[in-house]
Amino acid sequence: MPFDGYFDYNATTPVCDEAVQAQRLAETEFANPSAKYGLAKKTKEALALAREQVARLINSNSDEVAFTSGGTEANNWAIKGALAAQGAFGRRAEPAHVIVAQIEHASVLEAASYLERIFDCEVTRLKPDAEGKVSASAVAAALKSNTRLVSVMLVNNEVGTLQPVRQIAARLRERGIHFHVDGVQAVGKIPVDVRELGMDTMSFAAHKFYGPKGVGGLFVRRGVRLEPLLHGGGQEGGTRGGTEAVASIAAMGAAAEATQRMLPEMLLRLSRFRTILRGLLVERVPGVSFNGPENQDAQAPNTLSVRIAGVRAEALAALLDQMHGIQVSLGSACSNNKRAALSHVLLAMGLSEAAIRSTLRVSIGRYTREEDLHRFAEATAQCVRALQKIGNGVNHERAAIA
Amino acid sequence: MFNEIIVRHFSNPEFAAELDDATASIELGNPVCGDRISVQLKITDGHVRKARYQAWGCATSLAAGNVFCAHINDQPLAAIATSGAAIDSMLGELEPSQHHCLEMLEALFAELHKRAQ
Repeated sequence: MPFDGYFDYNATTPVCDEAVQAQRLAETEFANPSAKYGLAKKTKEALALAREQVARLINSNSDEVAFTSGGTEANNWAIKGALAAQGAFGRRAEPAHVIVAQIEHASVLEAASYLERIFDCEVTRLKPDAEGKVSASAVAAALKSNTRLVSVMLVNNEVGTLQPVRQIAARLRERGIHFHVDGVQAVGKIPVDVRELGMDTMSFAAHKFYGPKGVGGLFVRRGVRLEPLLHGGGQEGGTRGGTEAVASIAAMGAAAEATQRMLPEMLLRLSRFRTILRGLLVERVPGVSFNGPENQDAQAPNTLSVRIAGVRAEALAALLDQMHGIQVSLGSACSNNKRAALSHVLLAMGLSEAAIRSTLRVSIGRYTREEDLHRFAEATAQCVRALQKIGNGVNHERAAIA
Repeated sequence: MFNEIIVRHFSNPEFAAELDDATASIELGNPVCGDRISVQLKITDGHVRKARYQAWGCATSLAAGNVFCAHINDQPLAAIATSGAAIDSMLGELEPSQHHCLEMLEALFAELHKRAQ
């Protein structure tokens, strides 16, 4: 099985057969979808079909879906485009206030810092609770008379915590404040219904739901105005310039359709798998605990943030990779000689440096089988024993001396 | 990614152990990464009879501890590398995020030579 060691589905997912097939078919058609002649009919149709398939996955209208190069562009567009449409960047404009959660993806946090730096926007970065959740009341309490935009993700990528997006949307709707949701880690992993959730814009990325990399999109609720991020030739109804990546978009559509079909069964299976994996790790690995919500219904079912006391996760991940062909993600990594790179999410949740250094992110998905969980737990236990043998004589909690 | 030297040493750290009859020890840490390496040595008559280590850190620093011990174990102190160039090549090609481990390796050799004088 080619994916039996893959435990990093939150980073990206393998491309499904449906997407590969759709991409191949679409690649044989080359006409520019904006062209008026008959040759462009097929590429136009491919875009329209993909738009419908994606819309069905998130329960939107197809005219509310705009294609982008991925989640990063969609987040940048929503944030900058919503503020620009409100005149927040004008010379005489009152500085806008923006609220983001501290646990957002870098594409949101960096966009917010840019707004602060270049446009004198005022940015509030909300700290989550210890489970990684930002409450609707915390958002409401941070609102100011000049708040123009709030951005909170639907599912956190590192710990899987679900955010109370519906409740936040309700509070913001009555004030007419633009609410952007980074849905990249949620769409395709949990049921997402934009009608029910009520946000103004929501980003998504195909490669998180078994589509190709380099393509994604933005849901823009009817009636919501956004200035383009990419000005150009009037594509996507004039909202996003650039000839559409037809083959990738067709593949995303096919992936969305397959995901929607499988999601109910996947949710049940992955919830069961997560429970099994938790149990196996607790049983076999001494000192194991989990970051994130106590109540597992408050967490995306495919994600586990695993902490192993006294074990350096970076070394554990390297051993798992080299010795067992198992891939996981980390809460921290050496970045260079001068700076420690600790997860901003785990820091915001209040974890200590030692706890962050001992954290692995394990994320499962469509191709994970039950026996893979057993192999993972056994390999982890073995590697932890090996690391403990190397590290027993060193008190890692002691302040480092040179 | 890890080069072949690093993989070999961290996946089979044959010198990772504690010594009962150590005559000297070297402890090093990297305050940024929190890496720690503790080397125990049995030195008699100017000869490193045994070198063993314990470490807590990233894979590269675990490898660095083993590389150090592999080079000095059962060697006369006088024959142990002192030149920067010889030490620099011991870990192979490193990525920027792994360079702190080379600094730790250099510091281990420097400490050993200090002890030898």
